[in-house]
Amino acid sequence: MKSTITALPVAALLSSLLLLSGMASAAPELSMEIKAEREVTLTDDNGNTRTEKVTADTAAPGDTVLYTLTYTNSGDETATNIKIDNPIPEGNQYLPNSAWGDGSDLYFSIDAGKSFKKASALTYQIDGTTRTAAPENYNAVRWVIKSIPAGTNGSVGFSAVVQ
Amino acid sequence: MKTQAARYLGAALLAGSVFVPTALYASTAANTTISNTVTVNFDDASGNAQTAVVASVSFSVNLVASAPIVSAPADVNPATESTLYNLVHSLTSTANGPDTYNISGASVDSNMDGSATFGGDATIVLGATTLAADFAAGVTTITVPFDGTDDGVVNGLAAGDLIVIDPTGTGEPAVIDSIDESTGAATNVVTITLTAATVNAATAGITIGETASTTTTVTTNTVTTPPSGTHTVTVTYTSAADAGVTATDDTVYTVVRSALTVTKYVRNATTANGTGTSIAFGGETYYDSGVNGNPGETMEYLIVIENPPTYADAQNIVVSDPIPQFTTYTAATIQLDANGGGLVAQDDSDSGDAAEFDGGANIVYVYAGATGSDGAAGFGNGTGGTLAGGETSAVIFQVTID
Repeated sequence: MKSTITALPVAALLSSLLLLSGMASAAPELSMEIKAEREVTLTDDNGNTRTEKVTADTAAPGDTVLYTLTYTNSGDETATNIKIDNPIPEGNQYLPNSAWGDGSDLYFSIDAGKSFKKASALTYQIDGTTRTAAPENYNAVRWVIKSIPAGTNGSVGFSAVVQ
Repeated sequence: MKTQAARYLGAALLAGSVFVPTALYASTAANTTISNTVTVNFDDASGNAQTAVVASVSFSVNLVASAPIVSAPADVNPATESTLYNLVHSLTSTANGPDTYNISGASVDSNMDGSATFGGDATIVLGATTLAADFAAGVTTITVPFDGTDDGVVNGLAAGDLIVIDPTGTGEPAVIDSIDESTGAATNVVTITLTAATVNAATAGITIGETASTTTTVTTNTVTTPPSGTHTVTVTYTSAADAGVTATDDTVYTVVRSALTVTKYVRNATTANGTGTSIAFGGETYYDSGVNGNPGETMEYLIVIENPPTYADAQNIVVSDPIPQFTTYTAATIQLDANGGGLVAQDDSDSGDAAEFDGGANIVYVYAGATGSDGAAGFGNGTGGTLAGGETSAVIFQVTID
């Protein structure tokens, strides 16, 4: 009994080691960073204005906060079928047409992230009529990216108004 | 946004620039933490699902200063010269968080020798928050955003505070019974329990402002030319967070010069004598001094009250005259000439005409001037009459020397 017990784990260990080394040698390793920023308009003595982005440690109701989501694949294999889901935070309202992201497909949700659709397909029924959801009603954003090659990074983002 | 002016002033000054405020509105409470969390799901190159990656960022909401709602107390007319008045305002916050309001007074003056002077409360702190979730009519608990500190005080609101829900809308008053912040750290919202059920429903984002009263003392100046002048008093409440946010109330003080002259004369009704300044009244001669009498003799007092010509009406004229030591009031001897129409005998009782004698305190009360009345129960509680400018009222009563 004892010998068989010993024999089995060795085989299992071997196979799992092989598997591990296989994963370690080639795997995507995605990381994500979020920035929340605000645009501040400054006017110089000559009346010229310029806009600066500052980190939003604080914001007042009515302020627009720009969220930038930066992903990095620090692994050694391409990541595929990437879905970046971002619920619109409580106390924020999605700013229409503010979502962006190169090489990504944009979807939105009006049911707190249960289902995502293209903006034009995001409809709801009221009194038997079908209406297209207003961007203010979006409560989650999804970016779908086909692949992120190893060693590359990119950004997506959106803006929201503090309520 | 305006509050950020101060925040960026340093940077702006360094850059030789000024911050430009933009339009603002409030509906998330100050000090609320807003967190944004993103989840990334992905596969490897072979299509095997990988562990999701999560990242988040948060910031806190700033105070947006907002002009409080100020009550409008009634104008004061008449006011008297060089007199301190308490001007009480009720103040209700409409901001999204606690703020201090600095109180200042100013007066615009007409026919006065100078401006009114001010004292009293210098500042008032009002808590405020916003609703975190809708509530229906008839609830006693409401939820508001957590302010980051579990101390039983949420954004300046504490148990016992008087609040107004939706101050610029339904304006429903309520009293805070208790605040439970124990859930704040976990759920980002806290519960306020009210002492009574709400009358109206309310939606998330609506302002909840503390309401409290302030007292500004207003000391009137003197009238330049009788009969009266005015101080138009403006009390200004300025947000400490944003000096550009103010609320004001104007109260007009119509200051009337108090100009009644009262002169008291006496005559010996038993044995006429006297050496001082005399006055003839009702066929008798009264003196302001130099009158003497023997024990048992009757002395008759005359009190003359004059309101000089051009002066404003003097109202609520009450004469109280304690009977002098070593004399005894002679019952039913009070006579009153209300405003120049002639003497009318008065009874001593507590009601029925315009005079009464308080035998216990040994005081004669006369409600001089037109339409004076002793009708209110109790001695000294009657209503004094009115003397127009140029009118005179006179009172007579007798005592005997003990």
